[in-house]
Amino acid sequence: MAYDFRFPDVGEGIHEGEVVRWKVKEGDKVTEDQVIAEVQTDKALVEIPSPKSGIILKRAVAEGQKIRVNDVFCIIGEEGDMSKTPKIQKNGAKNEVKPAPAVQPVTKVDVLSQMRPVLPTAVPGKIVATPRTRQLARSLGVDMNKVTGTGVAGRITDEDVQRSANGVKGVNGREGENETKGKFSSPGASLVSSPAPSLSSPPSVSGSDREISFSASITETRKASTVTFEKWGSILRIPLKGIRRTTAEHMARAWAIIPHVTHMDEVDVSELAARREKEKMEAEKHGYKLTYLPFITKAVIAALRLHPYFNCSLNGDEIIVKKYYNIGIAVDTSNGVVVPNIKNAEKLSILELAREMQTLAEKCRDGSITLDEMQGGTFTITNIGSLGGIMATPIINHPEAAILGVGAIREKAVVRKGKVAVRKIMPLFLSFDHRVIDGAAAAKFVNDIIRHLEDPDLMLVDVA
Amino acid sequence: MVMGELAEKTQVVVIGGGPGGYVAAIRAAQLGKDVILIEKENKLGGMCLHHGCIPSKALIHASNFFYSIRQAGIVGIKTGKVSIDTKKLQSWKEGIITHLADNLSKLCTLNKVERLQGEAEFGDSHTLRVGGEVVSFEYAIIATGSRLNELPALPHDGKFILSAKDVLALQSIPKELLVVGGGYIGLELGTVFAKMGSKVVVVELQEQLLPGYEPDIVAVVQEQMEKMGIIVLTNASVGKMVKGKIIVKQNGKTQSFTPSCVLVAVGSTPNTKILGLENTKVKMDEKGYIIVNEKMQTDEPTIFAIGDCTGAPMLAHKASRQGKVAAEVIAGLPSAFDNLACPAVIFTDPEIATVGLSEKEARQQYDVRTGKFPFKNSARAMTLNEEDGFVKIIADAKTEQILGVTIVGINASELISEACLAIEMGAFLEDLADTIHQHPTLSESLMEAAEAVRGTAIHLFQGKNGP
Repeated sequence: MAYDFRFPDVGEGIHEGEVVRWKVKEGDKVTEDQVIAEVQTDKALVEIPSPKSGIILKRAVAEGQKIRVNDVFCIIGEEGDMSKTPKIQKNGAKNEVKPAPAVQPVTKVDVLSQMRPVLPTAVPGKIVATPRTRQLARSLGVDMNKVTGTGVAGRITDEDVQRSANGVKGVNGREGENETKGKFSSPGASLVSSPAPSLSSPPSVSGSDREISFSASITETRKASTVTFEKWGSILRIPLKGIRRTTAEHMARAWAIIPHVTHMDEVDVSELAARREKEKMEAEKHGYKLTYLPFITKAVIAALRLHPYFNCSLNGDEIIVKKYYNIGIAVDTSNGVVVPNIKNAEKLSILELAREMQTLAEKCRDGSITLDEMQGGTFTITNIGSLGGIMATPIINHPEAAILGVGAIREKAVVRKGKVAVRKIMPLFLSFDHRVIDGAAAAKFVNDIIRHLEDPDLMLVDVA
Repeated sequence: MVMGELAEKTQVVVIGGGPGGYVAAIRAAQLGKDVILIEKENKLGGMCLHHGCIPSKALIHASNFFYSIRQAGIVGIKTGKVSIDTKKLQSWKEGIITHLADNLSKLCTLNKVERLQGEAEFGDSHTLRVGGEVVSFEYAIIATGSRLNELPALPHDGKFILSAKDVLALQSIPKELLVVGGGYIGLELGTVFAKMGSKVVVVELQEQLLPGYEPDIVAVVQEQMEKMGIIVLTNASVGKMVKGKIIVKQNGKTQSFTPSCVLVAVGSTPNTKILGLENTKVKMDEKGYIIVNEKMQTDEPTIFAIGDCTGAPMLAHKASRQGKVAAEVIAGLPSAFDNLACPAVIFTDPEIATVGLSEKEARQQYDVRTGKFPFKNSARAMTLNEEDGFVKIIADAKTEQILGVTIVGINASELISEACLAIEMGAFLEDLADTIHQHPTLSESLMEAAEAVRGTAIHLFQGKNGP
């Protein structure tokens, strides 16, 4: 008997992935638990083991294609099953196309007018929503299949669609999704910096609505452009996949949903520099490089304890304040930026933080980072200082509420007690979610970070 | 494109001036686009207006009128000898068509839709040629429709073996008409001529008329056809014609007919071969239909396709809706052809109208309950002396959402609109049952059928059905 292996739930909150590599061919023998494919989910590469021994009759998804949890991943049969051509049943109900009532005279002589089942594209009863609501969903780029209806018998209301567009969980806890259907996704996106005017993006809708610009940006990265770029010169087409695709979607989502404000300041890290010089040797004895990041992390956690809203997530009608501090660190890899987080960073010493950071960064670079290490972050720190730069306006790592950027430390002439002094100055820039945090709170939060970084002793006293 | 040739530039070009094409052109113009509409005939409206929906409905009206005069005695009206002036009938019909076609021309002019006459041929994804002219476009909408099929053994000759188009223009009423094909065209036109006095025989290859329709629907119509003297032969096939004699085989037996003429109505074929589409990325399926997505986009990003050339069901109103969707998508609006309900209507006697799922289709995916309200229980139907048929509502047993509605009976073609709205809006039985329906009308039967699903119809005894 052929067995439809459906794409399993690989981790909390993950509902789709992209097949990066098949490790078996159709017709290959596999044993139970043998890795048959690698799938990129969120930002981690997950190996998919075979649930049983047998023969791969059919790979239902091509490399580079997306797959949703519960869609058929491959069909595994026993020897001798090869001759049968397996049929794949899609899980998504909406795509089921039912023949419309026959209207043409259908007789055997009349082969050409036999129904090609293109209509209706939807089936009554599968999704309950009025035409107006469906139109709204399209204009917001919301997939109706993923919206949880709160009306009578699961009817989807305008509010449900709005909520879904905002990426907020519905009443039944299903997360709203903002992606357009794979049906219309393009095989590739072109490498042209100006946004491709897309047919399906709604240019007439007011730009003040973040959800709308978000849906437009997502669809733009996902849809075949109707503009022929070739007309103006030679171009290169690179499929949008893997980390790049995840980043594109994640950034568009965060930017669309969160009203960002960036607060900027400078901190005098002269004392901290001296402290680091001292402890660097100690770290090196243990085989770790001690950067400023562990100190910044300590200062951030101290400030987070004083200002808990910076460690929160806005979730529908609730603000969820987390009492654990999983601090994300942006790591630059050859494939793009990846953000693993240090779990319960508040419990670690400076040296332990240094060790964790180094381990996670190495894992990111060699691709062995796991999904678990990427999820559950509460606050992110991004260090652009190592590459230079003074200021930036980082995008918040949704669903977190804030992200702290640090710039390059430079010696600057500053005035101290009426005299010009040469001090080591580091720029700080904090992007925060203005829905839950106000500018005054941000200033106070950054002031507390500064206070701890300027006086490293305080940091040690504060955080046990 | 030849050097020195001057291309006319436009934002949108629509190929085909039928109910898909002209609607797309007008909508695109309403949305501010420069539009050129190409039609090979010198008039707009396509098959629907000139050789289909409209002329057939004119003839159906006339034949019903004639037929009811002959039945007038039932209600106490005495009439003398009644006859049909077929020339007058044809000119009345032609007048309607001319008037409607002129109106379409005016609408296009008022909307600043430019028109070109001729057959279009694609050069590439941005240019096409019409006669000597080259048009360069940003977007094209293909709306070339379909044409009527012929039978290889009985090719249309315009004199004896006729297409639906020929039959609609007949200048006299045939004494005997043999209809090959028991689909909707065959039944509508067969009924027209039977009512006007022809002896009509309908030959259908499959085991029932209107294949695909549910037997309870077909039974009502077939009974009426037979009452008016139409001979229905199912499971039957036609052989060759020899000297005006046509052999029909049924269940191993053969009969021969010597009709005045033969109507061959066996479906339609998409008009997609003549377009030079090979110069574009537009793809077709194995049956020649252009493949489109729900935004009506083909595989060529600049080219859209709508209506019959994209597949069954071949219905004017489907093409019109798709035309609007294509124009709106081109204008950047978030439209899609995602309709839940696409009604289908057959103007037999009585009429048939369906929307949504049939009972059989619904049962394949839902736990279903149905309710049927016969028109013989409708006061209004009685006063119209038209009691045949019923309204059937198919609902999801669990949620009571309305999944499909079938109406067989007088004015079914008009009554179905309420059901279309109900399904498109995702209505439940209660929505229909608790809406006040004006009395005395046929539309009350929809309300009663909705109640019948729950066992609470008033004008149908269903016993006690309390909560």
